Amino acid sequence: MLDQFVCLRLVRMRGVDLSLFQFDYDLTWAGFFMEPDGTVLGRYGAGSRDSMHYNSIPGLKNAMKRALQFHQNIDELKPALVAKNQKDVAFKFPKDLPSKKIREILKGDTARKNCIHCHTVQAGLNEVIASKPGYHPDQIRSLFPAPERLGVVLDVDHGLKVKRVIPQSAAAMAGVQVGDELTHAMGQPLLSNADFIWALRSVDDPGVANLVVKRGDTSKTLAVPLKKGWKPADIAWRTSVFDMRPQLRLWVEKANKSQRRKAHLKDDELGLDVRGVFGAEVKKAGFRSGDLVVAVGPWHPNVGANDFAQHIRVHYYQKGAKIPITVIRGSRRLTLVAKF
Amino acid sequence: MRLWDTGLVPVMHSLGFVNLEIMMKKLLCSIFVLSILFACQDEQPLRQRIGDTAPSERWIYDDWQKAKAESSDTGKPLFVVFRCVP
Repeated sequence: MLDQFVCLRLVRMRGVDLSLFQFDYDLTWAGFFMEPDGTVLGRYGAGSRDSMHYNSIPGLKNAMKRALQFHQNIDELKPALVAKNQKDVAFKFPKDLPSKKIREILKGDTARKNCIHCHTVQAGLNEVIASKPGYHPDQIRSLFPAPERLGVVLDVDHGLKVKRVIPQSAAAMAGVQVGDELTHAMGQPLLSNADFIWALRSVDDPGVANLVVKRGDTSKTLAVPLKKGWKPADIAWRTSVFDMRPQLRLWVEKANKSQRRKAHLKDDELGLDVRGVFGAEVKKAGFRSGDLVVAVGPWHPNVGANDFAQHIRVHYYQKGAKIPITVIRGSRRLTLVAKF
Repeated sequence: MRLWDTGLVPVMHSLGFVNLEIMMKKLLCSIFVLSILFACQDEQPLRQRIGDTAPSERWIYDDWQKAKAESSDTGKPLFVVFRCVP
């Protein structure tokens, strides 16, 4: 099938036109189907904790088949495809982003060292969002809402067929059924689950997702009303969020069984072994290697390092934040406060 | 001044290093060749520079303008893949 396309591989972002290539920049693999005038037929590739949750070879093949169909009908579809790209981008090229990290990378003296990765672009965009007055981390968490936020689970190999409808969800209430095939979202023709996620970006919070589904031989239009808070998603897996504030720069790893037993932790309780203390704020707060983190304020679920960091980024993002972290040191239980 | 005249060579010989002058010449030649190679580094295609030789010849490498032109000429749609070099 590749013979029916002109195939282009891009390996670095520094010269990429962001008004043309807009996608989830946290991906390590992203595919675009396009016309030579820049019209986007669709995207393939969506990220998650499990990197292959939304991606598969059969799913890609189906997206390619749909892309060829879209290409055949380009004159008819073009007006609807325009919405697949946001035209008025503030920064046309990654090097234009007012990002400290990107400026540092561009000083690199070899092709590898000065390579701007995809996730670096998203980190730069996050920096811009976080620099504006009224910033809230939910703005970054809402950038790529997963289909599950509506209440639908799509068949990864088909790409657009509803495999499961989550009971009591917005999609269930709106009448979405198992076996429905999504054909349009917010007026955009879809060729993959990544396309669906992209279309959901434009839905407000609260808002309404307008879908068209194919059910048997008929097409149905469904309006899915979404309550406030539907959009913010899990971002703990994203590389781009490592630079979100506050940056503790505390190296932690999940405690092993012996450490947990010694600290009398229950199975559902937080236990993170401090392996390194690098940030000025955590050093000042008195953290030491070997401490066992067991709570952040009243929050203490048994999660790993990324979720711990996500909790802190979401709840202690304001300048001047004080983060109370409880640790076990030897036989003592201490609450150390990192001030930002 | 020859290397021998510096007095360094007899000392090195006494320590068991032989043909020191030849070795030094080889070393200087190597440094010269390497410096030429480094100077030409930016002239090499990106693909060679970063050691990314795996993709097949079907793919246009890192050249959007070329791919766009080929798509216009052939009437085929573009399939653009973003993939970092591991």
